[in-house]
Amino acid sequence: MSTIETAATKAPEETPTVRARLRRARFWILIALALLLIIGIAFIILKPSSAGLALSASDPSPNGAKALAEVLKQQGVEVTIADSMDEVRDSPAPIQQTTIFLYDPSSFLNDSKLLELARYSSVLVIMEPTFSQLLALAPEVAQAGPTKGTASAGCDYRPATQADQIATDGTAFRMIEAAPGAEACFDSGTGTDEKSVIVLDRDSKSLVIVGTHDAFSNGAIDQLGNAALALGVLGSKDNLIWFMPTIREADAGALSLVDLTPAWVTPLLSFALIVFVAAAIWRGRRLGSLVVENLPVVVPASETMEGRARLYAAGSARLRALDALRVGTVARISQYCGLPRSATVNEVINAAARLTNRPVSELEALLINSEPAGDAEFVSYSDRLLSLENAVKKALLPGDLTPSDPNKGKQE
Amino acid sequence: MAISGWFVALVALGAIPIVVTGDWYWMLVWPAITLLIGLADLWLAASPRKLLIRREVPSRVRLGESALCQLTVENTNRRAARGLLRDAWQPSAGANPSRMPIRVPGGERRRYSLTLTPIRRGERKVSQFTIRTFGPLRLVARQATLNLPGRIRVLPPFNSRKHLPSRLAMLRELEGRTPVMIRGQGTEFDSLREYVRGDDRRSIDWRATARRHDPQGGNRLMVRTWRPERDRQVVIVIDSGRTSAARIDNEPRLDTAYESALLLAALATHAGDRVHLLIFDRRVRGRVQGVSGPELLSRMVDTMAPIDAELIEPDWAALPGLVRSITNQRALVVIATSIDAPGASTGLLSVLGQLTTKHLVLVSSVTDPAVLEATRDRSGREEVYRAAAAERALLDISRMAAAIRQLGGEVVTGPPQELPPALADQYIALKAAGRL
Repeated sequence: MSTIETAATKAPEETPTVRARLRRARFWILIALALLLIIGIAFIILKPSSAGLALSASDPSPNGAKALAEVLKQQGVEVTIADSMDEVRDSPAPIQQTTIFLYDPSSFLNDSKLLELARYSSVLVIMEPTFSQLLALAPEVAQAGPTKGTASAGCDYRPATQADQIATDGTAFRMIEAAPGAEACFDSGTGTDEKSVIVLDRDSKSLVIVGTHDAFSNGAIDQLGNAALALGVLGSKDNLIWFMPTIREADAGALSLVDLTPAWVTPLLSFALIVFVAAAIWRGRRLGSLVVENLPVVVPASETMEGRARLYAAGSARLRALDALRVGTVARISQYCGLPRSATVNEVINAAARLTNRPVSELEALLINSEPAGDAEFVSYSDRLLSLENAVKKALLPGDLTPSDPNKGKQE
Repeated sequence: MAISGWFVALVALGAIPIVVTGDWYWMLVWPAITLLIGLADLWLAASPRKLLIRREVPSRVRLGESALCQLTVENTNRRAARGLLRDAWQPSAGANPSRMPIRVPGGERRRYSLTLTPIRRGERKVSQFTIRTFGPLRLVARQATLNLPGRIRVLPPFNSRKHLPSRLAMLRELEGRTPVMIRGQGTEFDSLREYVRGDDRRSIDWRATARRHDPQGGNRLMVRTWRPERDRQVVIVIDSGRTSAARIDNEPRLDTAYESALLLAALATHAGDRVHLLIFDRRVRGRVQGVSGPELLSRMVDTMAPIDAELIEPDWAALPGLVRSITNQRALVVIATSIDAPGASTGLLSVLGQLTTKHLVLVSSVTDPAVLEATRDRSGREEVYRAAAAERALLDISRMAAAIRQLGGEVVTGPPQELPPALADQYIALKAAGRL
């Protein structure tokens, strides 16, 4: 057989060289580099800030407290905004002249950190302390639920008397134990001892528990004596640390899984990712492109037959289906008997009746006249047709062809 | 570029310093080291673009048989090329192995071979090959795909050739090459010869016997011998329209038609007839004409190989004209089509009358053994309806056959395996009856 040879000249290349590929991808490489640059710059410039949180000292929105912080600055108070314990610890201000304002509604600080705050300040102001914070710092005070409306001072605490009348929207507290030197101000007037501001004396330091959340915010600080209360509480010392802890201050319990695992586990897991990527490149690189092949149409020939059967069944076309079966049976019997193709049904019936010793009328009913009433009857007719066919075949088996011979003679 | 499993293993080795020192630092340093080693290996690898390849492949192979495809790889690099070679044949070409390791020293050439065992008829193609050459450390490889088109023509299998010897023997009996001569075989007068026991007594030529003077005394009876006609025209028309795409017993009708056409052609050329082939649907897809002798079969398979059935209705009205363009003499026109549905075959029936006035027409059609089987399965309601539909399909076929006979044609039907020998037998019977 002849062979086709393809010459050993240098075959045209399908795979571009590295240089060509780089040239083609130049646009996308430049775009990717530019994106990386933008992301990097953004990462450096945009540091996470507490702006946007309620009562943030740098948030000018109605929920923030920038107005309060700015006025305090104008009055000569050194305001430091902190969001981590380290910033509080590193504060250069003398402790005697420091107020710490703590607002930590999510309880990110644990007990020891709260006590540490108390140590680092001469006045510790806690806005809306949570249950755990109260338990750690002021076990004699309990939460008394939300409150609304206005209240007058009703105590000897100086900032409160100066403010006289404030909006108490926020949380109320209640003294559940007597404490020497404690002042509870702004009773809600419901007769259940709900106070909005409680001042506790702690070894010449003071702990101020404030529940009037709205009174300190930009939106409501100008109402009634709210401003006077806020400035009085926070401006009593020369330095104010505005501390709003973030989630980074939260600790995950005493001995976490991280503390128990060896130091190499985390690097190893990260390194496994690199190995995984390498393995993916190893397995993923194809040896050349896929080959295209046109596949032939597959048309099963018996599809029309199946379709017709489903049509018969769906339409319960029993008589039509039975007639088809009858025609097949008659044709085969005629063939077995050696009748010509032109033989009529009656001739076939006569021949079959003689062969099987059955009455002609019975075969006529089976092969021509009767109509099936239901599917069960239809199936039974089909069985009878089959048994008739077998009977004819069986009658012819011994080689005894006499019954069909006279018939044949008649035909010719 | 591609990397090997060894390179991945080398990267994975970085786990050791990380575990020993517990330091993040190694996470960056180790990949950097492996990257440097890999780059060095890549730099030392031979260029796959500098490998010259020559492919030798047989132009044709019969379906079911294997062909050897040889690849000569010449390395024009100075460095040895080690790596993998993939000759990207179409999947149905059945290339084995699909990829092979190569090792060609610099400036030398090596020969590699793969076997092709196609699983489908037609043109099987290859358009490119891919070479991956590894560096000396076998870590990183250079890879290139190069264009090098090639093709192999896969011919119809002609499985029915197993029936040929027995049919040829029948033919030889007809032609009188066997000692037993039977009167009535053929209509052309061949010769006179002496009577031997077993000859038909009716073929004794009394006049020749009387004329014959036997030197040894006594009378020897003379018999006439007859031989079948020769140099008759056989036109095989294969329908490549939509009904030929249907698969019966997992073989398209068209392939069965090819099988029977090949067997008939082989037989007819041996019998001295002239065979023409026409494959058509709306246009002539293939034509073999005016070829005789051993070349006929090879031309036929070559013509058949790339032709597949198309999903269009054949233009039967053009058939008489096509047959006339092939021969003006009386011919045996064999039409390989399907006669399943009267509706679909009206086109054929309408032109059959024109053909039968001048030619002897033989329609061959494949029957579906699944249909016959379905008529016998009466096990449940669904099956009985299916049996009824099958009976109905058989009835359609017999009505079509009757219509064709009425128009003066002959019909041969059979399941895919039996149709080619049945057609051959019919041809021999026609020849024996002197009807060609």
